[in-house]
Amino acid sequence: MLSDNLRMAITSIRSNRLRSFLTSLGIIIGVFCVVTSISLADGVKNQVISETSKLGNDVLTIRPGKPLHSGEKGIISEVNILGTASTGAVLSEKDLVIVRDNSELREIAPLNLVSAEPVFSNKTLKEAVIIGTTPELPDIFSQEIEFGSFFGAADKDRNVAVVGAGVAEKLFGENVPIGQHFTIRGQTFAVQGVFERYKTASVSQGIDFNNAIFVPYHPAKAVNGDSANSYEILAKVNDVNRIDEAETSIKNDLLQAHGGLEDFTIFQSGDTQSVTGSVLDLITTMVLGIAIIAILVGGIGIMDIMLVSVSERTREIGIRKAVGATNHQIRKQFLLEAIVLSAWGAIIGVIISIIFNVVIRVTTNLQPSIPWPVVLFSVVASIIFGVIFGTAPAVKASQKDPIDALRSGF
Amino acid sequence: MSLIKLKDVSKLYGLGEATTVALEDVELVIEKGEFVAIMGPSGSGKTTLLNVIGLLDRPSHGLYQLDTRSVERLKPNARAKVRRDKIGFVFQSSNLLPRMTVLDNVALPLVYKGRLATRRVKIAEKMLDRVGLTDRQYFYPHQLSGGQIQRVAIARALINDPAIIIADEPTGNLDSIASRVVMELLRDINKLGNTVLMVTHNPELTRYASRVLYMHDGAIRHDVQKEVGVAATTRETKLFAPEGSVEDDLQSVSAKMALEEEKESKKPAKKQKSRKPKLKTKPRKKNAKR
Repeated sequence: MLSDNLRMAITSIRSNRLRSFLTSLGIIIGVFCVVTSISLADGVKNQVISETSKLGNDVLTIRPGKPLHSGEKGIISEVNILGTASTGAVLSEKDLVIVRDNSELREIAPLNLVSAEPVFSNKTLKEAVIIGTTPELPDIFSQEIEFGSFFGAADKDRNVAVVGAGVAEKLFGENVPIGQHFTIRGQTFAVQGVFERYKTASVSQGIDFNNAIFVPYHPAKAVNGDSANSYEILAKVNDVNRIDEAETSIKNDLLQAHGGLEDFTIFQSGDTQSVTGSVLDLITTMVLGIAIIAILVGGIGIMDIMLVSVSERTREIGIRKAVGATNHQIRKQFLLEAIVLSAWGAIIGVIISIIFNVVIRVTTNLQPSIPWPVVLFSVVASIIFGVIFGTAPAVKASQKDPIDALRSGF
Repeated sequence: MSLIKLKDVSKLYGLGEATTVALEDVELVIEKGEFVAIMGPSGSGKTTLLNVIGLLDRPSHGLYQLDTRSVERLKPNARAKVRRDKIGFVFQSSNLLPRMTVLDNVALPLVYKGRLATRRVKIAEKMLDRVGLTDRQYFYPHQLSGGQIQRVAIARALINDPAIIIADEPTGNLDSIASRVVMELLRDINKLGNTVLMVTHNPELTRYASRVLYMHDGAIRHDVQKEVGVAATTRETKLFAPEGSVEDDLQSVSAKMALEEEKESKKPAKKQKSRKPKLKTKPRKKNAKR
């Protein structure tokens, strides 16, 4: 009987494809939203984690500005999206000296952005990022040099550069451009090393290190109009067990230098994960809420159109009752139709979401991953909504008086 | 032991001053194997009587025994089951579900009886064979002619081997040839033992009936047992034609003409008369079309 009802439900859904599609549209969009938003957030979170974990757990990251204010229990109470831009906070050369002089730290490497574009034989690579740093960077970063070498202490005043794999390919058009010369703001630099390609594209840092050109600290400063503000300072502590003390110590030093104003943020590499993670969780929760409302609205849409369809199919109900369908059987049939519609909508939503995921993976450097438990959850939720919102039309259909029902035409 | 026994059955609609009496103290006994034609003007309660007998409607008062069982106070679900097992319906139009094949339409009552699909198909094929439409089983209703649709409806009505076939103007939308095919089918079914109850406006069609009821204002005014094969005398039809509406005028004219023509010869009269009800019902049923 159930399979017969199912067959009848599918027949009647098929018989009016456009209406069935429109009925399920709300559910389709809702499920698509849920699955896509969570897959994006999950993917990005995984990327951030895999990236920051590269830094090792003995690395502190110091950044200008205080984008996040944590309330009690570490819950983010305020997000300053503009970050440094609105506050004008910077990490100056003086700050770098303070950090370097801290006894808790073993190695430090600043990342100073140089606002310029590299030019190689009349070709400019606009997406390239030029970063001034110190020879300690590869150690802290645990990123291998594939060809050549990173600049050492002896190179600190020389115009040399180490480039990311992307730059090598796009600017120089070869994998190993060692010995090639290019210019930054009119000054000539020589390539002496190439980093191996980063596995994951950088998301959290805002910089794609595959597209970065690293130059020594002093030449970078000279090129950049004698300014050496750091975008970020990476510091490796002497003793990983004393990382909290190190953080407090640097914080106190910097607070003193900044006149008591905390316009900088220190992360442990775990923090970066948890901060990014909690921002993404926040966004995910929000989108999830919206998406569940969308599924809910989709369910209401099913109810609406099913109610209309019950009125339209009065004659059919009359005939079915005349040939012996009980109220219960009519109710079951219409309820099953609502469930099939919502389940079908959910499955279509998931399929579209999977296609969207593949497109995102191919066209951008984000790597969303399909969250299968969420897929299951949203399909089940849709079916439950189908039951809830299918009940009213089904009851209405089952309670039609057979005489009135037979009096109406098709 | 009578198949249908109505005692003082009334059906009222509305409340207080606005009450309409659709059936008034109807007494009726129908035996197994009868072919009963019910005639009467519009609003005379024919359809209400069929609905009560067919358990689509509950009488306001009175007793109804179907196959020795009192059924007047049954709950809707119980009535649905009695309908399914004992009664087959053939309506004037839109009998079939448009999205289903002929075979599925015929098998529909068996779905509600909980029969398995293979068994359903087997029985439905047998019924289609009985009405001579085996070659149309995978057609959809819109691919059939009006007469074929009515025959499919009869096949569906027969599928549970019901005690009663209730036909509400089964030939109302058909031309004379298709009408005859449908009526002969009903007669054959009747001969095999099923009781047939039919409402008709066409006096000519009473020739298939063994008994004719004339209704007026919710009551049975005439109850005539007659020989099968002979149309009921048209005097009654004329007698009980109400006055006023165009439709009724047409009916009177047709009855009068039938009388005159009958005097002259029987054959040409048949042809002409069978067309008239169609002419008469046309303007009324046009809007009921899909």
